[in-house]
Amino acid sequence: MSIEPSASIISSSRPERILLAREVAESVLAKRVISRLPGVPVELVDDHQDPLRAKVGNSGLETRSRDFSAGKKDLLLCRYKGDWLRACPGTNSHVCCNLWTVNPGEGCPLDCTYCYLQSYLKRNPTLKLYTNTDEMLGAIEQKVKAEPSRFFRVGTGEVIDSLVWDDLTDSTLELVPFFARQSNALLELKTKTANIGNLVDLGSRYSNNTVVSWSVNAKPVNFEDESATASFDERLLAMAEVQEAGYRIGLHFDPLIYFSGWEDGYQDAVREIFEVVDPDNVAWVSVSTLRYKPEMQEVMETRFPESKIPYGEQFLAKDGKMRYVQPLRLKMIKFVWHQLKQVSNTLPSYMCMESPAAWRAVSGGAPVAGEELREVFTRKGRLNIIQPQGSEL
Amino acid sequence: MNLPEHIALLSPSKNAEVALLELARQIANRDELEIQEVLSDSYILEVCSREKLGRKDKLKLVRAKLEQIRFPLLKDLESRLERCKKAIQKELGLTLELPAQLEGDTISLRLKFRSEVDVLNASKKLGSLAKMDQTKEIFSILSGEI
Repeated sequence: MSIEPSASIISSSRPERILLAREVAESVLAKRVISRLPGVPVELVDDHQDPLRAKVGNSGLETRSRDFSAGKKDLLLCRYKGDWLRACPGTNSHVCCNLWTVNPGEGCPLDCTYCYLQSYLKRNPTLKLYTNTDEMLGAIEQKVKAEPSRFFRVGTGEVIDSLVWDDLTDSTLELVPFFARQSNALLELKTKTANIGNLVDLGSRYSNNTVVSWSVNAKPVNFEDESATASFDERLLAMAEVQEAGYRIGLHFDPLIYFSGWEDGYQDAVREIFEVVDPDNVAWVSVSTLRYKPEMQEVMETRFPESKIPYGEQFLAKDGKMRYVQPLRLKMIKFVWHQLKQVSNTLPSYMCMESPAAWRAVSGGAPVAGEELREVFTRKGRLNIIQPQGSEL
Repeated sequence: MNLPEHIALLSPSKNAEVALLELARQIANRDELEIQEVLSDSYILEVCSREKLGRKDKLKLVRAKLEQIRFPLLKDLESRLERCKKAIQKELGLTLELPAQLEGDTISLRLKFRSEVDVLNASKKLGSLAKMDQTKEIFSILSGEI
């Protein structure tokens, strides 16, 4: 099987218009992105704020949904003026995996039906890329160096797909070598694309402190509800290439979706992934089920009338999110967990945003930082990160 | 969207009407049916035509049926758990309290004692409770063994 790794993704993610904040018009990154989107009109704007923010603020559901869709057509290039490195907010009364997040942009053009950004970014729907990435790296370095005894697992995939714009920005060409130099920090790039050209080009020289993670799902979910992402098979090929290039792989079976035939779907997914991925090369696997804020129910129904996800058996759980009833959640997580442990009993698996009760039911206890989960749950202590052969660090 | 005549004749309140239509709408979207088809389910038609049943009871059964169609797994779990609780209540006189909305893995039981004999009797009942199939089934359901 051979594919052009990112061809389908680039075409579906191409914005219809670039909004260029005047203050960053001369930035290297802005010029690079514009030059790689020939034919896409560029409009200079004075404000770095989301142009749809004011409009969306007091609008009703239909307008909000329409504006959220409209936000996917524009790409705003601007400066980020907030705190770069932040602890992942997690969720109330659920076990958190201690991820730090840094966002080189905001919003995702892939537009999966169940995407939580539809509520999380409801007032800021325009896609954004921040051009002051030098400040981002500076902020990370300052934080990481100030606390040398603390371990930082840093993800760029909280409010944006880590790789979706990488062919436009080359951001991984800076990020990956930067993290390779850190002694107490690890970068997680999380994606649903096959946009791995830069990672493969960088190769094993800098791959020691970067984990390339894929959100994965059963093929029917991928087909029905992730239509603008790389297909399951495209992701598998990308995993193989990235692994070959020397990176460790992360996997996120998240969100598990209940559908007729879900057991076969997820069993096949696990099997096919591990026909390609070496379990010993997996940094971590997370498993969790569908969850979203109640306000997203109607947004999903309005924006994706064909999707069956809003009509699953979710209800308002005690953390204020719509979730499947707990026995069903646990059944699904246990099933996938079991499939993973059959592949390798030492596969570092954890649950994202699940309750202590779920941990007891699935893994027999709270997430004790066993050796295989040390990278995920450790807060302190320097990791003995192995330098790959041929490293130029 | 209006309710079909067999339900409209039951004169539901405005809130009840909205709730019935919303359940029917979600089922229709999920199962690719017309809302009217959902509301004309054979059981619903049969309930509405029962002569000896009052208007409110008919509405209650119609709503329960729609909820059962909309949330089949949840309703099945609830009814299984309810059966277990009733069996335990009948056998031992103990009323178990399940975690709210089935979120959690802990069941509660409140006991009162007036004497050491009561304590002894309660301990025997707890011993019996631990051995009942229904107790096992409750814990199985809560831990996802469904």
